[in-house]
Amino acid sequence: MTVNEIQMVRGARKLLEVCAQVQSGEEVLIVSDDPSVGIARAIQTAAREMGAEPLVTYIVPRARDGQEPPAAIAAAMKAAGVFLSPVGKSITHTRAVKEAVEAGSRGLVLTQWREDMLVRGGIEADFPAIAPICKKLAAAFGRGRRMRVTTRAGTDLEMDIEGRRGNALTCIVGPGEFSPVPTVEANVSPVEGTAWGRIVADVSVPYVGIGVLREPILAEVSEGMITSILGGEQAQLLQSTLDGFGDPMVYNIAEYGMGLNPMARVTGCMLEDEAVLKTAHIGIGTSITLGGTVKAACHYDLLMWEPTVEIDGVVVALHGELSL
Amino acid sequence: MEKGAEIIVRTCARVRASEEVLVVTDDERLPIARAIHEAAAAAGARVVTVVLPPRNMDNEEPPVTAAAAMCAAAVVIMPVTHSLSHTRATREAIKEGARVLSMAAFTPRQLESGGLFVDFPSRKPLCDRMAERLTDAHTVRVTNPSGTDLTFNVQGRRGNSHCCILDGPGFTAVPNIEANISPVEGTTEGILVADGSIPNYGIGVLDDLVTFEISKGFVRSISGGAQASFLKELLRAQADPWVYNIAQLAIGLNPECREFTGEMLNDEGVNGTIHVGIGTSANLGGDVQAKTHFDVVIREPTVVVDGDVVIERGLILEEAKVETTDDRE
Repeated sequence: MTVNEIQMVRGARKLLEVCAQVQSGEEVLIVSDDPSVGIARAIQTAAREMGAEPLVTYIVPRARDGQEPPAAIAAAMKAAGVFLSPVGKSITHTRAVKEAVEAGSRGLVLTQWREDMLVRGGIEADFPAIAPICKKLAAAFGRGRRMRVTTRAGTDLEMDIEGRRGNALTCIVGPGEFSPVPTVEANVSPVEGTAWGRIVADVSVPYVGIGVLREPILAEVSEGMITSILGGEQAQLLQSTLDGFGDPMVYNIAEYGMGLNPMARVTGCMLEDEAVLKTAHIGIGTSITLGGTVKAACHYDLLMWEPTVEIDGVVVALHGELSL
Repeated sequence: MEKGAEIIVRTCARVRASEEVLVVTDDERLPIARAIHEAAAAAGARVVTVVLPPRNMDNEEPPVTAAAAMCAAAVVIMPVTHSLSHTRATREAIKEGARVLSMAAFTPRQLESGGLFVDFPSRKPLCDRMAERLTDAHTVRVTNPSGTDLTFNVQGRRGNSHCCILDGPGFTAVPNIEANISPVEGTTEGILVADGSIPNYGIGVLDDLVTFEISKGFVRSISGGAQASFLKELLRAQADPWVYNIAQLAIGLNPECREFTGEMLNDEGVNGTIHVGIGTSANLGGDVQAKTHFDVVIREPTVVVDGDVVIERGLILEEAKVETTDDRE
C-alpha cells in the first residue's frame, strides 16, 4: 500500500470503529457506485483488518440524488447490521434507507466523498466529544414550537416545529440509526406549509456542480415553499435544476440543520460543508427521513454562515455561537 | 471475454431490459464479474455486483446480507471462487422467483473458449429427455473401466435438466449442460473409482485413482494417493456426517467441454461423463443440507437405467443413433 492508501485505511478504520461501532465478525455492507474509487476498497481493507465481514457492492451510478437503489441493495441494507454508502448520488432520502433503519440496521452515508476526506478535515474530529452538544441542540429542536432563523447576510425565516423530532447526527450510530459523515449536525423538519420569510445562502449549495457560492442565492419562502430564487449564475443553475424535476414538492422547506464539526471546512463537498461549525442549512424537497411527510424528487441544501436561532423566544445560537 | 459474457447474459440467463441482475463475486473473480456486469448493463439491466468476503469452501453459506440481495434480484449470476450452487441462499432465491446461474471457479479461459461456445438451445432437447429418463427410472447402475460399480435407487425423485438456459425461476450452472437426479437417501451401494476429476477444494484433475466405498447411501472410506488423503482430511474436519451423503448422479452433456482441465464447470460438463455429487442434495430434490457439496467425475461410464443401456463407455447411445440416422440420409 502507498502512504496515502495506508492513511485512507486508517480513516476507514475510524469510521468503522468509532462511527459505526463495528464488531469483529459482523457483516458490513459497502454500497459504491464507482469501482474506480478507492474509498470502498479502503473500507473493505479496514473491515478485514478488524475481523469483520465486508461485502462491497457496486451499483450503476444513478441519475439523481434521492433515487431509490436497486431492490437487491435495499434488501441487503436491511439484512446487514451495518451499511456504509460511498456513492456519488445520495441515497440518504430513500425508502431503502428508511426501511433498513426501521429494521434495525445502522448506516453511514458517504455521499460524494473524495478520497482525501478519509485522511483530513471532518474525519479528524473527536466524534464522541461533540456528540453531547449535538444531542442537546437536537433536544431543543424537539421541544420547540416556533423557530426563527436570521443571519447578517439577510436570512429571516420563521417556521413551526411543534411535534417534530430533533435529529442528532453525531456520526456515531447505534442500531436503527444512520448518519452522514463527517456531518455532525442537529436538524429538524418544520411542519409542512408553515415556513415563511427569506433564505440568503452565502456558503454553498453542494449539489449539481453548484458548490461554493461566488455570490449569494436569495430564496423567498411562503406557506412552506420556495416561491422564487434570485442571484447570479449559480442561482439560475439551481432554479433550472429544480424546475427540471417537474415536481412542485422539490420546493418544500424540508429541514433546518446546523453544522457542529470543528474540523470540517467548506470545500463544496456536501457532507463536509454541512458539517462546518457556525453554518446552518435549509434542506428542500424530501423530508420523510427527518420526520416530515414529503417524498419529493430530490433533497438539496442551501448553506448560510453564522445563523442566529431563536426557539420560542430563547436564543440558542447567536451569530453561529451556540448558547445552550 | 466480452463474447463469453454476452452468451451468459443473453443466451443463458435471458436477461431482459430493466430486469434487476445481481452479480455475486469475490476479489479473485472480480475481472470476470466486471465482464458480466458490463454485458448485463449493455442488455439494459439494472446491475448490482456484490463482492463477498473470502470464503473457505465450496457450498458454504454466503453472508446473510448477500443471501438477502439474492432473494430480491430477478437474475443472480455467480462468478465466485467457491461454489454457491448447493446453498440455502440459492434455494431461497429460486423460491423467490430468481433465475440463478452459477459460474463457480470460472477462469478467463472459460469465457473465451470451450463449453460456453456450444449451441445451447440445440442441446436442450437431449438434456430434457435425459432428465425425464431419470425421473421415470427406478434403478440406475453406473460402471466404468477403472472399477466403478454403483447402484442408485432414484424412484420417486425428479430428474433436473440443467441445460444452461433459464427461461423461468430455477438454477443452472454454465457451461456444464447436465441432467441429474438426487438418489433416495440411504440407498446407494457400491464402489466409485474416480479417474477424471474432483473439481473442488483445489483438487482438480486426478493424478491417481481415488476410490470411494459406498454403502447405504454414504461414503464409508476414501483411498488413493495424496489427493485422496487431502480430501479425506478436509471432510473429516467438517465434523458433519452428511458431507458423506450420496447427493447426486449427473450426466455431462456438453460436447464443447472436451478435456478435463480441473475447471469445475468444464469438467462436470464433459460429454458422456458421469459425476457423483456428495454432501448437500436439497437443491436437487433431495433432503440433505450438509456443510459442503463436492463432485467426483469419472471417465467412460456405462449407465444402465432399469436394464436399458443409456451410455456405453462414454458414448451417449441416443446421440449415436441420431448420428447414424444422419449418416444414412
